[in-house]
Amino acid sequence: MEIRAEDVSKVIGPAALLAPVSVTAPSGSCLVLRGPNGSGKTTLLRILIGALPATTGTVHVGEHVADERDPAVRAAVAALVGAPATYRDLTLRDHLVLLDATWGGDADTCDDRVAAALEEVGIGELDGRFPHELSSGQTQLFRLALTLFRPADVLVLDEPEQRLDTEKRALVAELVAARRDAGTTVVLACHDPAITERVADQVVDLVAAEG
Amino acid sequence: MSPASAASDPAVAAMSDHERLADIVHVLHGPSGNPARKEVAYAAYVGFIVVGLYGFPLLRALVLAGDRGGMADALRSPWVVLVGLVVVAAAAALAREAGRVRGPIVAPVPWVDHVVASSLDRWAALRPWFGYSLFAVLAAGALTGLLVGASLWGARVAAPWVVGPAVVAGLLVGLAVGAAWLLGQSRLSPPTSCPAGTSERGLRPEQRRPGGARSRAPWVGEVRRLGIHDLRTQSARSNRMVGGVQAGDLRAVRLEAARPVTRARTKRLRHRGPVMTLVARDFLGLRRAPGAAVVGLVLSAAAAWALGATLSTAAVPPLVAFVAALVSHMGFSGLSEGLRLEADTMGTPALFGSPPVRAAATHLLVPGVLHLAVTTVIGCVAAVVAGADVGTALPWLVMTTVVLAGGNLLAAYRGRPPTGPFNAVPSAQGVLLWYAMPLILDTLIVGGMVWGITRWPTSGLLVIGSWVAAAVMLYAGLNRVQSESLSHRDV
Repeated sequence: MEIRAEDVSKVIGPAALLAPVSVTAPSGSCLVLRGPNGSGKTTLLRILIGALPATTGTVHVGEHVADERDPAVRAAVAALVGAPATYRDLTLRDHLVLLDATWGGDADTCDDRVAAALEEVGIGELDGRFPHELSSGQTQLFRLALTLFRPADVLVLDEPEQRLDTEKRALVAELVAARRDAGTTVVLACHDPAITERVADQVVDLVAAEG
Repeated sequence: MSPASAASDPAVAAMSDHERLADIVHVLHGPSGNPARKEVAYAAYVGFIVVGLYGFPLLRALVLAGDRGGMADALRSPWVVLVGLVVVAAAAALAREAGRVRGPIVAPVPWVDHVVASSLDRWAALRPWFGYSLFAVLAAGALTGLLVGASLWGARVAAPWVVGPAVVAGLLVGLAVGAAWLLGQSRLSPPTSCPAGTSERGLRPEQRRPGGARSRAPWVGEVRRLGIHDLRTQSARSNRMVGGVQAGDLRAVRLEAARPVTRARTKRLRHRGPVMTLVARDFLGLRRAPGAAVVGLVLSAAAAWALGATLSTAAVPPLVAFVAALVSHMGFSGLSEGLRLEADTMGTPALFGSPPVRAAATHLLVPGVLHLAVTTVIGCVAAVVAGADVGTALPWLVMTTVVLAGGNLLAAYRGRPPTGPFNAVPSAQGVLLWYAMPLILDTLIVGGMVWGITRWPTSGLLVIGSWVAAAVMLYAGLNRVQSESLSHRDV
């Protein structure tokens, strides 16, 4: 599913958060956004997933206008932009089971797929922990596991390398590349050259808006 | 001057802790000193006014509406002492638990980082906050004693002289609760290796500062025991909770105040389809937080008994139904953590696949069924004990659960507090009203319904009106879920 933004910008009061920019990520490709702090990477990602209305321009996810209030957009886009709301009374394993059930996953294979998903990001042995019992790096891996586990045609990640060591960053690069190769459209903001080198089909450098 | 050279400077060493603190306060606040003392006094003044204007008339009215003769007899019974002790013990236990989250000694973070962490005696550095909290618990105790004593006197249940002992008892209870509060906080830190009263252990006599504290009072030892890590944690947490309350971010407040869940780790959530997995999630949540479940069930049961009795006999004043409705709302709320956690996901990128309204309605099943079962069974037993038949009370008890389900939906999906057209920051009164609105609605509807049926027991209009009100509350709750899911985008 293609994701396309045309001349989008964001201004709040006197502050320009994002200078006008056009980007397109064709279906099954990976678009990497780069730029200095304050250049509007996260703002653009929030606009792309329809969580933030643009001041100017339009965004389409496939045929749909990007607006997360549209169930079709919500079903298509999995995003890790900011901290997802997790349940303080569920373990990591329980979170993924609940997620699978709400998306209509196969109950018979659920436990195996949940174990594999946690193993994939390197936190399989932590499946019985509660979210507050994780380190900051483990929390980031858990959030990635949640985002990658739900079905989606478009995957949007905001600096997935945050708080991860070199080995885990390489792991994230492989996971993102695998999703892209499987046909998922991927858009991510990233400061890591190695991840960018491994996954990017297209790189867009954002510049900070004036004002 | 570097910190190391400052520590060894004889001029600095010769200053007492008191002098150094006075210098710091002067630097921070100027010649007028720390305004916190005036703010605490003002809070006590406002508390006194509120108790006088609202607390006294309300409690007096409740006493007047109750069985005054029975109450006067009960006050002369030895059982009143036992009940009083149980209440004080429960309050102290609660205070000790609260101290683990937010104790009485909560100085600002910069003060903790730069003053408490220095070589100053910890008791001296934290004494102002000990004083504020001590004043607060004593003032609260005295006001409570004054309120209860004056209300009993005003309702002619007790003689005027009872006001004095009530105030003294309130002061003592305040002191006991304050001590438990301090213990809850201080026992987070391990015992200090420094003996009580010696903050300068290891220093030669000539190195000790003049005026160094030597007190062996137990509260001084408890304050000195407070570790910098726990002081800082509680201070930062307190800031976040206050900020959360002011911004109407109740999720932040709940997460700060709640004790981390660690129970029933080995119990697993199983995939049972999109609806039943949510139901299983809520049951699992209650098993992992049994305290909330027990409190919810006990409050629901107590309220159900009061509602059943009010519906069945004229001996119970209808005013009791309003109090019971309030308690029942809190009971339902105690069982509804799953609903609140679902509401917390509003505004975050979609992770779970259930549509918002269906998810919210599903999360009502566990608290709704539990509340309905407890309310109908206990309420009907109370009705039978009071000499009425089950049919007298049952429909109204069922309606109570429906109304409260709607009220708790409104509470969970409150969204953000309303702002005025000229001010983006909501007023304190506005936030308070916005926060209390679901509780007020539930109390008025359920209490009014029960009051109406005791006054016009054969009115068909009242029956129809009550069912309509219950349905409207539930619809309003679900409608709020829908509107919240459509309106939460940032602008």
